[in-house]
Amino acid sequence: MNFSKALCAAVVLIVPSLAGAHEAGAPAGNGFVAGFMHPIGGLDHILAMLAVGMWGAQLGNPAIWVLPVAFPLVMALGGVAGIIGVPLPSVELGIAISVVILGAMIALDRRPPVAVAGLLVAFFAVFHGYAHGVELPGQTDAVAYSAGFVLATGLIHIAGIGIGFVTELEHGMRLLRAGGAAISLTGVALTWRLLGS
Amino acid sequence: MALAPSPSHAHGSTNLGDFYGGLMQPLFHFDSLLLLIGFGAWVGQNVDTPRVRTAVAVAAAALVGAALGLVGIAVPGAPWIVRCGALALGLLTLARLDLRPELCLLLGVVLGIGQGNAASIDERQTVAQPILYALGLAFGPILIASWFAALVENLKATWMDIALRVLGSWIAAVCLLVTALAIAGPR
Repeated sequence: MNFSKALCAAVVLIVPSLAGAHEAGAPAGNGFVAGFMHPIGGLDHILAMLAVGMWGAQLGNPAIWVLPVAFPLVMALGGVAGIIGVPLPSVELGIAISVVILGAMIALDRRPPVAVAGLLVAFFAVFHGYAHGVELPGQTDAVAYSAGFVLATGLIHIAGIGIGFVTELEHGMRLLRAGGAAISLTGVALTWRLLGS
Repeated sequence: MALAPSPSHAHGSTNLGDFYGGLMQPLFHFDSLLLLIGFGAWVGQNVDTPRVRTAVAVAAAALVGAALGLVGIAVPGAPWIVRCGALALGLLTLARLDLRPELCLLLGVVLGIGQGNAASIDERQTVAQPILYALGLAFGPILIASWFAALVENLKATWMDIALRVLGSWIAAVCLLVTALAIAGPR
């Protein structure tokens, strides 16, 4: 068994217990804290957000800000769709695949035009936002909840951009691409688990 | 002091309680705060905006809106003006769009009236000194938006430009969700 297979197997074994942001319902508590904790509570969401920031940093200006700006806006539209009950199939699968694809983009150092990258990120943002919208707890302070999860999402993007600055170091691009590969493999594990369940 | 806490009135009566209440209202109402941060960010971002005139227009309009609210006249859709205004300001900041001076003033007047009225209509039974409360509601937007605009003006690094656009997208995203939740009703 080579290293990548071993890593993939380890991820499959370890990840399922961690990846539960969009399955067990929203976290306890109302308002800002509940909204803030919702994206942070699941590995799938965190990895996709990190990947958006990392890919933006890898692509450089203007993608470094276009991607993290596009994501929350389109995510909010997805959230609106979830709130008002517009049907969207395979939301969890879409989220898991977003982790695979965004990680792969970093790993393979793909550099499409900014518009294409923005569209790809926006497409996946719909699934993430939809999951947030559907799982909005009842009797919640809507403004505080929304502010909480948009802020958390934005902060994870910024963390991803920060990781992306590793490219400033010697061999930094290799490290970043390895990080993208790890994210993508985790996404494969999440997808595998979803398809198997 | 330890034995007799009741005589210690660090925040005792200064007859300014209602002024302070009006001044602090945006800090305790997220939608108002988003509106004012968005306003400050947009004004600070665009150097051609007539800042002083716009700030005066907002304050005067907030005073009018508050006066109407405190005598029981609800401006139709005032809470929507606050939400949609914040959404518009977020998008303007994100796109780094400036408006013609007269449109800036018009926007300031509409937002001021909406903010002042929305912040006062439900408080008229509890406010003891309506004039002070209304004055507080008029000064609050100026203080918060001016502080934020000054912050933006003084941090003109490249990163600040990006951070402002990101902030605009966050404000717009939050307002989109809040608007959808308001339309969808209680869950």
